[in-house]
Amino acid sequence: MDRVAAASVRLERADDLPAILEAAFDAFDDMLPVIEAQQDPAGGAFTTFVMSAAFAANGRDAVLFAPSLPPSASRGPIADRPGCGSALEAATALAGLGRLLDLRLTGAAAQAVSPGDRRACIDGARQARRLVSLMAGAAGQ
Amino acid sequence: VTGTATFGDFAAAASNHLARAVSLTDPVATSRSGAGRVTQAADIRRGMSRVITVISRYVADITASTARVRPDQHEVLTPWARAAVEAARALKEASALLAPDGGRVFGSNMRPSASAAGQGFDAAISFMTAGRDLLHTHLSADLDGIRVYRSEWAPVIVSVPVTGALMLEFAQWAQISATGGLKAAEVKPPREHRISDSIETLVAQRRLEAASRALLKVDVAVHRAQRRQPVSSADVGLLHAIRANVIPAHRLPVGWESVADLCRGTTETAERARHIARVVVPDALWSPLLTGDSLRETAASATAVSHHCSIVLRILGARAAQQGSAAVSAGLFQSAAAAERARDAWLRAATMWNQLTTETRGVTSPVAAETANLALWTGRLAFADATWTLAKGPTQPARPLESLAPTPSDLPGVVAAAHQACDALVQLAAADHQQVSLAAQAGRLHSPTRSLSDDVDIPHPFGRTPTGRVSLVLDAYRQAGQASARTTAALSAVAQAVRAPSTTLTAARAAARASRAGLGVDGAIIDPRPADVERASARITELPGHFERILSDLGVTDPAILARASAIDLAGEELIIESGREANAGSMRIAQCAPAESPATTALVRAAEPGATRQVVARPIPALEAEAEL
Repeated sequence: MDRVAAASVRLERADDLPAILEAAFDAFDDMLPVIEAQQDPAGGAFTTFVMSAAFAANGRDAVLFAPSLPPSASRGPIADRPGCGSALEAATALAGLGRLLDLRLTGAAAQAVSPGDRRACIDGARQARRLVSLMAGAAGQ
Repeated sequence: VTGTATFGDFAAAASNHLARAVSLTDPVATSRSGAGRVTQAADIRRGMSRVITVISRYVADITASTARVRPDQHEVLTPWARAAVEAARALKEASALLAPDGGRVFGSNMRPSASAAGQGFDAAISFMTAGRDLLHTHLSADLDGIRVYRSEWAPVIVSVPVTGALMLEFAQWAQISATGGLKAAEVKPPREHRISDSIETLVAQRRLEAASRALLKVDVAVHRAQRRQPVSSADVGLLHAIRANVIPAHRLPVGWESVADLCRGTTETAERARHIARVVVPDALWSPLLTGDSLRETAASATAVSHHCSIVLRILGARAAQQGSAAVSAGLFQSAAAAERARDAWLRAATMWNQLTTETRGVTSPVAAETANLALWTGRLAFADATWTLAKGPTQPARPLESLAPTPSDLPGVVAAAHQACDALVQLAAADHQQVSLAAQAGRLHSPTRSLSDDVDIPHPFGRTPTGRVSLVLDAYRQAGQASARTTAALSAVAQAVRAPSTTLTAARAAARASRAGLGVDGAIIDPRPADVERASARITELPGHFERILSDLGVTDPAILARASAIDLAGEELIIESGREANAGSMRIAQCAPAESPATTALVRAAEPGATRQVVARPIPALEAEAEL
């Protein structure tokens, strides 16, 4: 869960649109290995995590084509597959990061001048909300 | 299954009305006045004429392509094609005998009949026409007159077994009508008639008798074909099960559905998903609805559907064991295991999309929406909570055994629902495989730069998806389709054993396969796919082979090395095809074993299967052809 926590910190600290977009991109991308690690058919939340991965990837892609996303984004290494925490821990962390993504991207959409940026932020926030709705359920919230 | 009228309903109603009309045709009835008898005879002549017209239209549908075959070449036609030609000839003869002036003798054909027998003919003709209209909702023709499939039932309709069943149907109509005609021909002119009127009536009666005998030739021709190439009662049942090409209405479970309601909802949603998946494929080159969001959500939902089906099938397996059906129980557990493998394959396809996207985003396609709905319906079947959703949390207990199938008679309906859902996944895999292929050809697939090779220097957050990765995605869809097809096959056997309503699905797929194998009566002119898809698919075959792609992905650009890789690809494909020939494995699916499509594969498949249709060669998922209708 360290990666999710780090992504949350970075997203909180982002202070302008390019930084928010880049942090959001990384946050969505960092969610994917955490979610994949929980896709155990024997687990009770298997399908929830499967759908959540789709929403996280959708959110990442929404931000990926934003005009203000710095060209240097998406150039770091791919996140390693994390150690397996419990499904509950993962869902709780992911729900928290999803809420933060929703908050920051919704705020960024209001500030964005370019229609492309605005649309990227709105779409990204929508995907974050979809993810939160699933993860909150899996976390028993 | 969904309560919609079927061809069988119309055909049965037509036969019943004809039989009733004939029973009311009484040439010696003393209760009928002379004038009444004449009116009845006139009504029957008019009714017969219209029956001949409608049957002629049915026959013309079948002989559309054989019209180009010269009479001296009719020996090459299949028994049913020859029967259709002979029936057309007999109908023309009967029509000419009955209405030498081209039908003016009957006045307006729209005028309702006055006699009860004539009214029976009128009703029968309405149902016969409705039956043909129903079949025509599945087919249309393009500007070049080429027949175009509009539904998954279209190849079933034009298949030999169903064509034969259809001919048996109208042979019966012809036979009943001819019987009525022969009875009506015995009616004597009333004594009060003037001599000239009596002569006119007698001439008409003799013409009616001759036309009836000509009409009986239809029955003879059809039954000759039936002896040579028998059509089974299952084939007739398949024809009767065909419904109009109307998509079931969209609906979602509300929470208080019975298991039967959930099965119906699952079946209807599966049908919607199949239909929509079929129609979106041709637009993949340009459609804004083709998004990475949609494709990955579809794959994720398909994973969920497979998972839910495996749960349902395990519950049913346990229930069948409780109810003493050991063989059925074993079949259900095998199906459940197959569904689990399909689930894993779909999950791999879904995960591939973590490294892929499209230039269009933010739109969820109708296919993705329907697949998500299917996941919801199947989830409601699998879990005990009547309001289950994906967001309900991890501690959802599965539905109790006795709740899913309280009695043995409840089992077939649930099996059918799972069968329909799994079959839809086969179609979805085929459709999405084709969509990804077309999107790759159109340069619509992109990947985050982070996920690309370090050697690739792209000053953007995303770059074009390497062909090797596209290949892996296509392989994932191929495997998902194959795994889903195996689940469907396992479920077909169970459905057959428990006589589930979905056995029609199995029969339809078998008939469609026969059609695709070039056995269709008018198969020569059938091209089920729009021309742009055909062209796009042909371009797909120009993709480099497996090893050539890997080297390209590694950044190798040396033409000599790439040429060697291409030669290795070709040699591998030749080896696979040669092995297939030597093994004389008629059922071996050559392209299934090939690592990738390439021009060489196309050429070799053509060489190996001289009779193969161009659809077989160009279709990018040969391994799924057995089940997929795309």
